[in-house]
This record gives sequence, C-alpha cells and structure tokens, in this order.
Amino acid sequence: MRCHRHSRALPLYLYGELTDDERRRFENHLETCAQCRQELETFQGILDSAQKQAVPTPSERVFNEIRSAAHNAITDAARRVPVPMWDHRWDGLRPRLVAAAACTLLIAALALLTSVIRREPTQLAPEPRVIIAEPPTPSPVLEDALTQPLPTSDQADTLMAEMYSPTPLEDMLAELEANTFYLHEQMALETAPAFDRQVRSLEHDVVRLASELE
Amino acid sequence: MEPDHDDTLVAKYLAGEIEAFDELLQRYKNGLFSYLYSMVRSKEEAEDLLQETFLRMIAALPRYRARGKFRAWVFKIARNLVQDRARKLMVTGVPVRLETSETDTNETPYTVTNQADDKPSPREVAMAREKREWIESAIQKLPPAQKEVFTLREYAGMPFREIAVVQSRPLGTVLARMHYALKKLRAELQKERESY
Repeated sequence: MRCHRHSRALPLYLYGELTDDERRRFENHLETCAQCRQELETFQGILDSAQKQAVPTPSERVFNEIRSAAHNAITDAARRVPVPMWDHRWDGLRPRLVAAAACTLLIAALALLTSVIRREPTQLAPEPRVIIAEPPTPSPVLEDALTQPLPTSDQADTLMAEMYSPTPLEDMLAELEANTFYLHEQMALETAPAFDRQVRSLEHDVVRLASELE
Repeated sequence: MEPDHDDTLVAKYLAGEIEAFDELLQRYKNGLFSYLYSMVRSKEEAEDLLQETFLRMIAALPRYRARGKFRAWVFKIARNLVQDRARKLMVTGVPVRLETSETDTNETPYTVTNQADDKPSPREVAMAREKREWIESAIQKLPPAQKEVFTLREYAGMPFREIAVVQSRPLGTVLARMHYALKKLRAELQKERESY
C-alpha cells in the first residue's frame, strides 16, 4: 500500500522546507506509519550518495569573459547617457546667434509678403482643400483601461501571487499526472491489464483537463 | 553585516558598480554550473551554456523587474538554453553525450558535500566512487522533468516553490516529480543490488 496523503510532504521534509507545524504533524505521522519511515530512510540514503556527485570546475577563462561582458555592458550604458545639445563653452555666443536667426526670419517674411502683394489676384493659386479627418474614437474598453488607475506595487504582487498559485484544476491535473507516473511505474514492474485500463483512463482525463486549462 | 539582496545587487550593478555583478556571479556560478553539467554531462557544453546564460542575463538586466525572484529568473534563462540545445540536437541528430569524458573527470572536481575530516580507507574510496558512478548513471535515466527537479533541488539548492516557478508548474506537480524521481532511483538501487 502506498501512503498517498504524505507522499508530497516527504520531499519537503527531507529538505527542511516544511513549516514547524507541518513538520510536527509529519513527524507524528512517521511514528505510526512504517511505510513512510522506511521510505524516508531509503530516500535519505539515496540523497547522501547523490550529494557526492563530482562536478568538474569550470575554467577561469569562462568567468573572465563573463566579467568582461558585464563590464562592457555597463560602460556602454554609461556612454549612452544623452549629451546636452548646447555646449556651455559657447554660452557667450548664444544671444548673438538668436538675434541673427530672428533677423533672417524677419527678412524672409518681408520678402514673401512683398512677392504676394505684387501678384495679380487671378494668379493666386486656388486655396487648397484641406480635409481634416475625424480622429478615431477610442473603443470603450481602451477608454476604460486608460482611465483606470495603475495597480500599486502591493496589488501587482498580489496579482503575481495569484498567478503562481495553482487553480483547483491545475492541482487536479498535477494529481492525475502524479498518479499516471505511478501507474506507469507499476506497469513496468508488473504488466497487468487492469493497470493498463486505469492508465488509459487517467491519461484521457489528463488530456481533457489540459485542454480545458488552455 | 547582512549580505545584499539579489535585487539590491542588480540595482547597484545597473548604477555602475561592477563589484555587485561579481557578487552575483559568485553566488550563482556553482549552482548554475552544477545544474547545467547534470543536464548535459559535458564540461565544455556546460561551460558554453553557463557563459551564454550570464550573457543573456546581462543583456536582459535593464528589463528585470525586482520582485525577489532573481534566482528563479536566472535559472529560467539557463533552462531555456538547455531546452534549445535539446531541440537542436533533435533536429541535427547529433547524439547527446551522456557519459563523462576522461578530460572532464581529470580536472580537479569539487564535490557538492562537506568534506569529512578523517581520511577514508582506499576500499571506502573505491566503494564511494562506485556508488557515485551508479547514482550518476541512474540520474541520467530519469525522465527529463524529474531529472530537472532532482538536479535543481539537489545540486543547485533551489527550494521546491522556486522550482515550481522555473518549470511553470504547480508545487504539487514538482513534489510529485521529486517523489517519483526518488522512487525510480530506489528501484534502480534494488536492481543493482540484485545483480550482485
């Protein structure tokens, strides 16, 4: 028999991720459940051996290249800070340039006015027809969205938390996925037609729930 | 003094403090490399993926939103790269190198465990080596999703709730995967014992 109720708590217990209350409850359960005790002992032995996995040391060259890329990225970003349009060395020249520009504009305007007055009224080009398009009206949904206040950081965090917490349907899917894994495993050990049927039915449920989730 | 939070280090780096990036690199290089190495079993490929993970991270940092999930974010980048590599291998048909090559083990390895003070006997060393080799080959036989949960928890030290974020799955699924990974390893151990 498999102890269904505590199979999920076991990995959390092994890695010390249960809360104090959960840990106490699980330890109380361990006192009465020989199967969970045995499973815990075996898993602990496996993890002790797994911890000794040898991992080669990455060469220092990799880290040097990463550091250099990080340094370049931040230096480039600093270089891209917008440069002021006006250099302060030319501050003394500014009023004179402004005056010169104003004079040029005035002369150009006078010349234009003179040429228009000298022309015959018939020679004047017809006034172009200007068609002003009606500005598109925003859809009510967009209007609503634009008038809504932006969510505060707390609200955004709550929304994120809601996104990460599984819905009952997702939870059911996980349960089914877990059961399907378990049955697959049992099938590998003992090929029984009853298991086969059960697996097929569970797989069907998983597919249906997955499509509902989408 | 309390160490800086990851998000604080990111902000400091973006403000121009390169030392803050060094601290982030120091924090995550071993965990990321252990995860990548366990997934690809080749030192060279794991190094390439590690470098690419950090390069992508550097490029994306200005868009990173500080929500206290930096570790999950970085591992998600690494995971995407591992999946891209697997897809490319499926297209090109180049076999995945599952075994550790000679050059991989010849370099000074670090073990993800505390070293005991008393020296083990040569027999104990040989037995430990045999057990290590067995467990490494058994981990490679796990289904990909289970192998990933096992590796992230065991070698990268990531809590299950963060693994759920990395895998975009509910916590229950992640715990079920870990439980079945352990059961599969137990079954392999039993087979190994019976063969002696």
